[in-house]
Amino acid sequence: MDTGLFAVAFQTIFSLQGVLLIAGGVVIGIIAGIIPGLTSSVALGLLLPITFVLPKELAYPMLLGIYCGATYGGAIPAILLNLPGTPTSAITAIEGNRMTKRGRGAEALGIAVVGSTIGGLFSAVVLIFLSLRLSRVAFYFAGPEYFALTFFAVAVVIALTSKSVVKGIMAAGLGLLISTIGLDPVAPAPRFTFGITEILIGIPEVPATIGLFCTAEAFRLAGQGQLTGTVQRMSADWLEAVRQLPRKWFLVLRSAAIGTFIGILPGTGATMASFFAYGEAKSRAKDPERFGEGHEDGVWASEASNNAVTGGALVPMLTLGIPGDVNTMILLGAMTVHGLVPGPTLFRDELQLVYIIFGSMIIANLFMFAFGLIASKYFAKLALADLKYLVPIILVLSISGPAMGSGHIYYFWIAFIFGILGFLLEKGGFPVIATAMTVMLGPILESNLRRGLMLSDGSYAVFFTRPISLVLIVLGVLALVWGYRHEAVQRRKERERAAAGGASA
Amino acid sequence: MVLCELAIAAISLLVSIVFFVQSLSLPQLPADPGGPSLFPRLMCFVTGIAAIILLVQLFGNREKREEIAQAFAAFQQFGAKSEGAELARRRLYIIALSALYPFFIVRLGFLISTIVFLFVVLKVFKVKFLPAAVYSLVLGYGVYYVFAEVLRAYIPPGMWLSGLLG
Repeated sequence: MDTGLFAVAFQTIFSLQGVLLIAGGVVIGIIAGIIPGLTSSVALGLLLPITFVLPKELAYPMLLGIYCGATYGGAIPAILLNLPGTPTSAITAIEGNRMTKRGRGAEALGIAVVGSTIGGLFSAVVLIFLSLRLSRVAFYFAGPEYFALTFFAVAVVIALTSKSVVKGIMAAGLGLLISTIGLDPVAPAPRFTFGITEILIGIPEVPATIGLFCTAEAFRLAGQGQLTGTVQRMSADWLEAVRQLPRKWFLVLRSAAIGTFIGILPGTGATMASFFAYGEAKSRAKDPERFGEGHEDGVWASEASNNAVTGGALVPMLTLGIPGDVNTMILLGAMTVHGLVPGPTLFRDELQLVYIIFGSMIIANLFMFAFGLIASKYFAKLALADLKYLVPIILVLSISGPAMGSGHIYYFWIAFIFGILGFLLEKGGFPVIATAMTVMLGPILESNLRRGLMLSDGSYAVFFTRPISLVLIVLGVLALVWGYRHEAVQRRKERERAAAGGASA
Repeated sequence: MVLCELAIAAISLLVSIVFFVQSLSLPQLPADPGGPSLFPRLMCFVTGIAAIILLVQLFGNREKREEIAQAFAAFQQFGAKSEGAELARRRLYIIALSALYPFFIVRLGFLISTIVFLFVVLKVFKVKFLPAAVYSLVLGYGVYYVFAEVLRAYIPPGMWLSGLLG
């Protein structure tokens, strides 16, 4: 770790522009997290085109501010209204809203903001140390290793994000087929363009990802009824949360570690982290029967873990070019636009930017703490934002934003078509993230498969005789087997429940 | 929603078949043992098989077949006055408008198309005329300003308007 580079990074972050952008990003992120339907990925996707004109040293602080702020922001309506602003706060809603109903809402908000900050800072520290080491290991990766790593990433996404392995494979397969459109990555000949010159360069990742998540979300909200309710305005009682820390420090650190580890796994994300951490907290609690009735440990576990995902997800993204979750997928798109190539070369050629990212994660979490204290008092009402005014602007920004930002008019159609695809996938119970991730990873998977075969004169044994490649392929296969078994167990439990329900009737 | 499952399975199968047939005309290269067709064919095979399995699961299961029949029947009730049908209609109108939006951006220009798009979507949401007009004018021009002046992006002027104004 180079302290000199950190000093230069903080100079950039603490310049007037840097402070305004990172603070502004955090505030926008918190607001996006509060408004149901505007998740961190939607906010990132909609604002991504604006960062195209910023130098990369300032684009990333703003994007990371949005990422950290939105992950926390969802806790506010979850606690006050039992309405998770983002899916990552679903667990927080269970315990936090019960606490509000028992007159402990301010305490729950305080726990959310302190827990989120600790989780985010913990994962930022892990990001700094782990990514610097992992980037050196990645230098030893050749074609077979990159193929195996990408295969492992796709297998984990299929196994962990889909209730049905068949649907997961179909979603991933569709994304991989879409990724083959355009010029062949090895021998530059056109494939599957059907005479459309605009897609000769392939399907662009940024409008495709924005379409799959942002435009599709607008289509989903368009058919939703308006949410109603009344919002209590209160500030977060962070002092009460700090008073609890001496008793809760192990729970908080364990939850942060769970969140960081899950963030490192490709395609998983904060929702899974908060479920795992909550489950752990409940199983180790002295009073598990209080869970579900407003137990503060549930809020600590959920919020520390879901914000810890932010740093963890950046580890594979920066070092290997594999996104850890939907948000880092969008951040990866931002890298492409700025001409950056994630992986070991990023750490060799753009080390200053890497340190700016490290520093931004720390500062964004500190800003999140500061703004988070008052957000519940001033922004909570946005949780009931009128869909009538929200849906149109999401559509305009998601359909036109990528095209305007890049200057390619046909991006309008890419965002719209992928919006339809994302809507159908989500409604049909397919994992949208599997499709999005494979559109992005497909070229890496294919080019390294073919490079590996060229290395070995066409022998597939090269993927199984190199130790790192073999281990990753085996782990990927095991992940798929686990996913299939998990699905079979869930199906059997459902059949037993249905049979028991029929018998009692 | 079972109709969406059916749609994705059908799309996946169709894409797999079309891409596989197209891959037959891709060149083979001596120095590249895999070639441009290896990966697409593998993916066509995997995706196609998964799509067939899902279609068999959907049509081979009595409950799922009933669900599909019910979904089609509900589709025929599209014009009904229930809240569910109204929300479904609203969604369909907005998707259709979103398809027209890029079409008109290229022809009428970004500013006019965006203002009109925002206004029409708000009217689909049954917002009154004045608030809809104010919202669409203010936000439409605001977005245009950000793109044109802040981002200095290329803003389509509109083929029809350019032609009209010479």
